[in-house]
Amino acid sequence: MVEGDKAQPAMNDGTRQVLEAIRRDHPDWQPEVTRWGEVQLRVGREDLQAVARALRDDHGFNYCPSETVVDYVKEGRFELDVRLFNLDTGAKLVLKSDLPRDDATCPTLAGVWATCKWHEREIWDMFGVRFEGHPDLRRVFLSESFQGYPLRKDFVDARKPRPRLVRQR
Amino acid sequence: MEAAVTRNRSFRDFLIYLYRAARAIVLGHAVTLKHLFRRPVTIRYPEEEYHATPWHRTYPALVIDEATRELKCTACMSCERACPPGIIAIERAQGEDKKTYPGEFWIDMLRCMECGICVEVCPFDALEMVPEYKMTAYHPDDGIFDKERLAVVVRGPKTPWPRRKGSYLEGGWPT
Amino acid sequence: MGGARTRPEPQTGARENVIELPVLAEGSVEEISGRTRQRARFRGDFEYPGDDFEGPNVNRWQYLPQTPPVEDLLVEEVREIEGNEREMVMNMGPQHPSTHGVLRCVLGLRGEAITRCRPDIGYLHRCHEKLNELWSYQGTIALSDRLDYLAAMTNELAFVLAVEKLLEIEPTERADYIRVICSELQRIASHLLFFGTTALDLGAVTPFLHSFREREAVYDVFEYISGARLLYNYMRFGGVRTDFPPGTDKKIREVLDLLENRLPEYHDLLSYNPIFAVRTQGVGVLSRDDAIAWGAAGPVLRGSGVAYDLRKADPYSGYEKFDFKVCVEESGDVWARFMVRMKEIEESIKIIRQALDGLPEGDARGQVPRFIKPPPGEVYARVEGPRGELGCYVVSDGSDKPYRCHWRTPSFHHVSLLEFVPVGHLVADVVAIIGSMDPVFGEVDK
Repeated sequence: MVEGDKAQPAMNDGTRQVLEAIRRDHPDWQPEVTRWGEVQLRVGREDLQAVARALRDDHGFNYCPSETVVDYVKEGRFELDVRLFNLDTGAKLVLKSDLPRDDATCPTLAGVWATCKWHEREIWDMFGVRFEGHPDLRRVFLSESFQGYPLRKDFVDARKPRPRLVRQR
Repeated sequence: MEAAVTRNRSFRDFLIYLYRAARAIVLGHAVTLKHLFRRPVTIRYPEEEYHATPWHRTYPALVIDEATRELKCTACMSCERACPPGIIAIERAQGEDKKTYPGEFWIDMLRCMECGICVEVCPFDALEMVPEYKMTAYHPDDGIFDKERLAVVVRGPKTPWPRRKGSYLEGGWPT
Repeated sequence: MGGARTRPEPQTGARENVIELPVLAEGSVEEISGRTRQRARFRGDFEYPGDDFEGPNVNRWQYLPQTPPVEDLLVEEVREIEGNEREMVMNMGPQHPSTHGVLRCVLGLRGEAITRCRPDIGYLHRCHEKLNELWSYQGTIALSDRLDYLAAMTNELAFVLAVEKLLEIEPTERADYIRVICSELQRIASHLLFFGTTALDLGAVTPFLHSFREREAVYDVFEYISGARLLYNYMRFGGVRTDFPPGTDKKIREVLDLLENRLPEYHDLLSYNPIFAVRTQGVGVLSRDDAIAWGAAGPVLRGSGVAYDLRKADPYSGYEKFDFKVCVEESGDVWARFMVRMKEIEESIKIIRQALDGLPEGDARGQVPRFIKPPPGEVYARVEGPRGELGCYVVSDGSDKPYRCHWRTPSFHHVSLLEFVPVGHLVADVVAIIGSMDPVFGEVDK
C-alpha cells in the first residue's frame, strides 16, 4: 500500500483533459488524482453548488451515478461523496465535501443533477443530513415515524432484540 | 419491423392493422402448436423424483467417518465463527483420549442462508453440503437441526469446494 | 388497490357505497367520513386531525414513539390545487400483481389520465448497508446475492471487484473469463424474466411460460457450476469459488443453442405482435436529457438513445477483449426498452461463445490471504448489471468488516423516474411503464 507505487495511475483520456482544464480554469480548486485514476475535488460545503454547476456546465459532467455519505464518527464529520461521470468522454471525477456532524446540513445538488433528488432523500433517511433547498425531502425507505438515523455509527436500536432459537450473538 | 399502428387511424389503416393482427395470431398459434410435438420439460414431482446436482447446496451436514463410524468434527469452532448469520452453535466436549468432539451441534436451518462458508472454512472436511431439498417440518422447532439430524455418511461425489488452506480444489473434481 | 372507480356527480347518500379512497372533489379531507379516512391510511401511521375512528387498532407502529401527524404524500398536494374538481387519488400497490414487488404508486387521476405519480418504496427494506457493516467481507459476498436476487452474479462481481481493488490483487485470467461468462448468463436469465413479466403485465400469459422454461435451463447451468440456483455465493476475491466442473462447456453451449432457436419464437409470440406494439410504442417516452439527468442506466438509458454501456465505456474483467455491440434504440418508449433487452440477449450469447472459445487454462482462483483485511481506503467499483450501472462503494478502515458499503443500485433510480414518466398516460400504461423499467425490489429497497 505505497502511494508512490503507481506514480501514474491509469487515467483515461477524458479524465486527463478534465484535469488539465480544471488546473487551467480554476487554480484554487486543488484537484488530486486518486489511486484509481479519478480526479478528486475536495470543496467546502458553501462552494458545493457553484462547483457542481461549473462541473456540469463547463466540464460536461452530466451523469451522477452515486452520491453518498460516510460517517466518520471519531473525527466528528460526515463526508459527502459524489461520483461524477462524463458520458461523452468517459471522464471520472469524485466530489468530496466535509460536513460537521453537529451541524449536518448541506446545500442540495438536486438542482444540478436531478438524480440527486433521490440520492439525497436516501441520505436524509439514513444519516439525517438535511439538504437545504431540496424540493421534496422526505424519508425514502423508512416510515416517517421512525426515530433516529440508522446508518449513523452511534445509532442504537431501541427495540427489543428478536429471540434467537440457537444462540444470542 | 412495421411501424406502429397509430391511434388515429383511417379505415385503410384499420384494415392493415386487422391483417397484421390476424397474422400475429396465426404465428402465435403456430408456436403453440409446435409444442404438441416437443418433449415436456416438467416432471410430475411427487411421483417422479427431482435429482439435484450432487453438489447442490442445501444444508451443511456433519460427515461420519466410515472407517471409525464417528463424526469427523473436532469442535474447532471455525464454522461457528465464520457463519455470517451466526446460526451454528457448538458445545465442545472432550473424550478420554483428550480428543475434542462436539457434545452438541445445532444449526438453525430456519435462518441458514445456505452460503456454504462453513464448509469452506472447515479444516477437517467434517462438514459437507448435501443436496437434500425436502426439508419440510410440522413445527418450527424441527427447523433446529441437532447432531443426530445433521450426521450423514457421504458416499459418491463430494462437494468440490476448496479444501484445506491454500490448496485449492485438492484432488480435482469428483468423477 | 384497484379502486379506480369513476365517481358520479356528487350526490348525498351515495358516498358510503362508492368511495374507497378519498375523493377530493368535495372539499377538504376533514369532511370525508372517518371510515374512509381510516382506509386511506395506507401505512397505518398517519394521523389526521380530528380522527374519531374507533375500532380494532391495526397500527403496527403503535409501540414506536409517535411523531407529529404526517399528511399523506399526495393528498396534501392535490388539495392545494384550487379548482381541480375532478382530481382524485388512487393507490396502486403496494401489493399489486404488476408492480414487480412491493411498490406503491400514489396516482393523481383526472378521469383515467394520470396527472401526477408518487412512487413510495421501502416496504422491502432490510438494512442491507447496515448489515454490510456488521458482516465480514466473505459473508458480504453471500449477502450481496440478496440485493438484486435476479442478478446475483453481477452483484457479487461488483463487490468483489471493489475489494480486489482495495487489496490490490488481480484475478487470474481464467477467473476473468469465468466471471464474464457468468455475468452474461445472468444477464440472459434476467432479461428472460423481464420478457415474461412484461408480457404478463400487459395481459399475455403464454410468453411468461416460454421464457421461464428457458430461464430454468440457464439456472440449471448455474446450479451445475455453483451449487445453487438463485443465490450463488460464487465469486471470490482473486477468482471464483470453484473452477467449472467437467462438461460445463457443453452444457452452456446447449443452452445457447436452445436460446438461439427459441428467440425467434419469442418474437413471433410477442415482440412483433401488433397488439403489443400498440400497447408499448409511444408509451412512457423518456427523453435523452431526462434519462441522463435522472441517472437512468442500462437498458433504460440505452432505450433513450444514449450509447452508454460500462462494458465498453469502462471495461472491467476483460470485456475489452470481446466483440459485441451496444444495443441502442432511439425512441425512448416502452417498446425501445423492451427491444434493447431482447437484442442484448443476442449480444450476450455472442460474448459467451467468444469467452468459451477463448477460455484459458490455469487456476480459477489466485493466491489470496486467508483472512481478508483490506488496508484503509475507499473505492468505487461498478459493473454493468442487467439493469444498468451497479456501483459498490466500499470504505475500509483496516478491519475485517467494511466500514461503510454503499450500493448504487440502478432500479432505485428507475423507480424515481416514475415521478414524471407516467404523467399524461392512462392507468393501464403505468403497468407497462413499470414493467419496462424492470425494477427488482430487493435492490430498490436495499
